[in-house]
Amino acid sequence: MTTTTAPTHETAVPRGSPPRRSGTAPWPVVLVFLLPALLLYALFVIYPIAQSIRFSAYDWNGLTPLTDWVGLQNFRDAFADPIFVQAISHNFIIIALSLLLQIPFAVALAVLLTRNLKGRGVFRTMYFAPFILSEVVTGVVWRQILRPNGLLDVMFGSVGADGLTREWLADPQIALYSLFFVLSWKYFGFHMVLILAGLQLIPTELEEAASIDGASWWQGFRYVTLPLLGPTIRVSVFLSIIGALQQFDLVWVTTEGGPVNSTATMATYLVDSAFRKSQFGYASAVSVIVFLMSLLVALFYQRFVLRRDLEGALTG
Amino acid sequence: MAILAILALVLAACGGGGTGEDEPTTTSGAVTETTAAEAATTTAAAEEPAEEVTIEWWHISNEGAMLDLWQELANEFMEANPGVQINITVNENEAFKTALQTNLQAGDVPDLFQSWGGGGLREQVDAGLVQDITDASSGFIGNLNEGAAGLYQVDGVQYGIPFNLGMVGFWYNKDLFAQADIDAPPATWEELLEDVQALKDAGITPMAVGAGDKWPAHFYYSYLMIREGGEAAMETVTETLDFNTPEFVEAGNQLQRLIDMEPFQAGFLAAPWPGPDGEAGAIGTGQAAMSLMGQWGPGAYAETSGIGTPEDPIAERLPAEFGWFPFPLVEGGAGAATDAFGGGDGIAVGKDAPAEAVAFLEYISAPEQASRIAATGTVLPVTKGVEDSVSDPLQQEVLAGLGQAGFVQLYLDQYFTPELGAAVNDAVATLFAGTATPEQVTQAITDAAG
Repeated sequence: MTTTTAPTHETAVPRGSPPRRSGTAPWPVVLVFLLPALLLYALFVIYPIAQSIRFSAYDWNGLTPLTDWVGLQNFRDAFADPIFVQAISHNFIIIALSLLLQIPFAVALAVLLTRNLKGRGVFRTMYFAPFILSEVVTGVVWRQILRPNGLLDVMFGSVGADGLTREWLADPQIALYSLFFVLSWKYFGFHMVLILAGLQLIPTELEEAASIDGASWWQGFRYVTLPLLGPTIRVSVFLSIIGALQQFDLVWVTTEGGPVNSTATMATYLVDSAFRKSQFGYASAVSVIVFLMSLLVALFYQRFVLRRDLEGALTG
Repeated sequence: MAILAILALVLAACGGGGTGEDEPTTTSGAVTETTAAEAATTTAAAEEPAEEVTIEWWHISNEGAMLDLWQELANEFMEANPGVQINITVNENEAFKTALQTNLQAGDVPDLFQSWGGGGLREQVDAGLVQDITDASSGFIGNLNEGAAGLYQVDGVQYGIPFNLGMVGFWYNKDLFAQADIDAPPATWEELLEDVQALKDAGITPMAVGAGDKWPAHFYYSYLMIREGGEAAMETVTETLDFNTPEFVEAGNQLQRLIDMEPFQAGFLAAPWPGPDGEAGAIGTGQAAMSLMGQWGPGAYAETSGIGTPEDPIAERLPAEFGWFPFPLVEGGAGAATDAFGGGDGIAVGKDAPAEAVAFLEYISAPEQASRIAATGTVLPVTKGVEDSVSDPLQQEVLAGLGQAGFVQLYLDQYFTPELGAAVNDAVATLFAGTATPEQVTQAITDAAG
C-alpha cells in the first residue's frame, strides 16, 4: 500500500517574495493583452451581477422606472416563500442523489470499461452519447417517453407489467425522481469519461505491485485505484454539485418545474418569477441568492476539498 | 435586388408549407406557393422609389388557417402600399409571453403585437411602451364591437384593436355523450356532475384539462366564481382585491367536488393545453369527452386529430360530432346562466410604430377582411355586420352565447396584473393537485394581491 506524496509548492518555494521568473513580460505588455478580456468580463459578467444586486432592492415589474426601493424585503419574501424553500431543497436532493448514485455508477462503469472488454470502445461511445445531446432534445424526448401512455408505459404494458406504470412526470410525488433519472441518464457518461481519463493516469505498476503482494481485486481497487482516483472524483463531484445548483434547461423543457412546483429548482423559480409574474426585482433577489449560494459552495469546496489537489498532492 | 433575393429564399424555405411548429419563425414573404405571383408583384412595386417603412408584427397564431391568413393579409397590404414591409414573427402562446417581456424591457417594442388587454396592457401603458391610437383609429373603431374595443382602452385611451372576441364554454364529443346515455347537455352544475359520473360509469374519461399550463384550470375556478358571486362580486373584488369571500370559497368547494370525482385524463397535472400530450390532444383523439375552452378549441382539437388536411372544414377533422354548451348554472349562486367568461385577442400598437401600422389594423378590421378571418372557423369577428360570415355551426353557438350575455368577465389571468394573474393560476393548480383547500386558495390569491 504505497502512498506517494509529492512535495507541495509550499515546501518547495520559500514564502515571502517569490523570485521573479525570467521571461515574465513587463506590466504594460501584460495589461495590453489582458485588457480586451477584462473589458468583456466586466461588461458581461461583473456589470450584470452588479445590476442584479441593484434591482434586487426594488419592487419592480421590469417595465416601469426603478422607484420603489424596498431594501432587503425581496430577500425576506424569498425565504418566507415555501415554494422557494422547496425549490432549494429540490436542488439539494438532486445533489445528494447525484453523489450517492450517479457518481458511484459512473466510477463502476469506468472501472469496468478500462478492462479488456470486447467492444469496449463501442460501450464508451454509447454511454457518452447522451451527454452530447442538447438539453432541450433530451427534455423533449424524455417527456414523450414518460408521458401517460408514452413509450415506457407501453413497454411495461407489452410485457405484462401494467402494475409498474406511473404518471412519471405528472405525479407530484415522483416527478422529481423521474427528472433525476433523466438528469443522470444525460450526465453519467460525462463523469464516466472524466474518471476513465483519471484511471489512465494511474501507473499500472502500482496495481501490479499490489496484486503481486497478494491483494485481491477489491483490495487493489479500494487501497490503490480509488485513492489515486481521488483528484478526478473530487473534480467530478464539484462539477456535479455546481451543475445541480444551477440546473435549469432540462427541468424547464421537461416539466417547467411542475406539476405544482414539485420539480421546481432555484433557477426555474427565478425564471418563473421574472417572466411569468413580471416580478423582476424579486427575481433579481432570487438570482443574487443563487449566485451567493453557488459562490459559497464553490469557495468552500475549493478551500477544503480541492486544496490538496491544487497543491499537487497525488492522493487524498 | 436584395429584397428579391430574400423573397426567393423565403419562398424556397416555405415551399413545404410547414405549419404548427413551436419554434418562433420569421417570414418576410409569402407562405404558400399560390401567393408567389402576388409576392412577385409586391417586389416589383417595392423597387419603385417610395418611403420605406418596416412594421414588426408579433402574433401567436402558430398553426392552422390563421397562420396562413395573417401572412396573406400582410402581403395584400404590402402590395397595396409600396414601401411598406411587414415582418411577421410567430411565437407559440407561452413562448410569446416570455419573448415579448424581454423585448419590452429592452425598450425594443414590436410595432404590432398580440394583446389581451386588461392588467397586462395597463402595465405596458404605465411604462410608456404602447402608443395612443385614439385619434388614428377614430375613423374605424366605431365599426367594432364596443365591449371588445374597450378591452384595449386604458382610462379612455385606445392602445390597440380587437379582432376576436369569444367566450369560454364546454366543447363536448357527442358520440361519447351518447355512449354514456346522456341525451342533452347539462344545464346545471349538479347535472354536470351527474353526467361526469355517467361518463365514468361508461368507462369514458369525462374531461381533459391542461393543468400544467394552469390557465385552462383557472377557467373552471373563474366560472364558478362568476356563477357563485355574479357581476356584483366580480366588481367588488376588482376594488378590494380581497378573495376571502364566502362566494369564492364556495366556488372552490364546488370545484373540489368535481376534482374529487377524478374526471380528468391521466397525467392532467403535467399536461399542457396544446399538442398531442395536451388537453387539445386528449379531445382531438377522442380520449376524453369534454373540454372547457374558448372559441379556439375546435381548431386546436382538429390539429391533433390526424384526420383530414388543414384545408378541410374543422368539423370534418374532429373525431366525432362536437357540440358546445355554456358553463352550467350553479343553483343558489348569484350569477346568471348567461353571464359569460371570456375575452379576445387583439393587437396592441408599440410606442414607435409608424402610422402605417394603424392603417394595417384598419385594413384587417374592414368587413371584407374580418369575414375572411371569421371564415377560418377559429375566430369570432368583432367588426359589426360580419356575424353572418361565421359559418361554422360550433362557432355560431359561441356567438349566440355571447349575444345573450348580460355580463362578460375577462380572463382573470389577463384582467389583473401579471403578478396577480399568475397567483390565481398557481393557486387554482394547487387545488387541482389536491395540495390546498378552497380557503387556502382564496388566501393565497389575496396574499399575492396585497
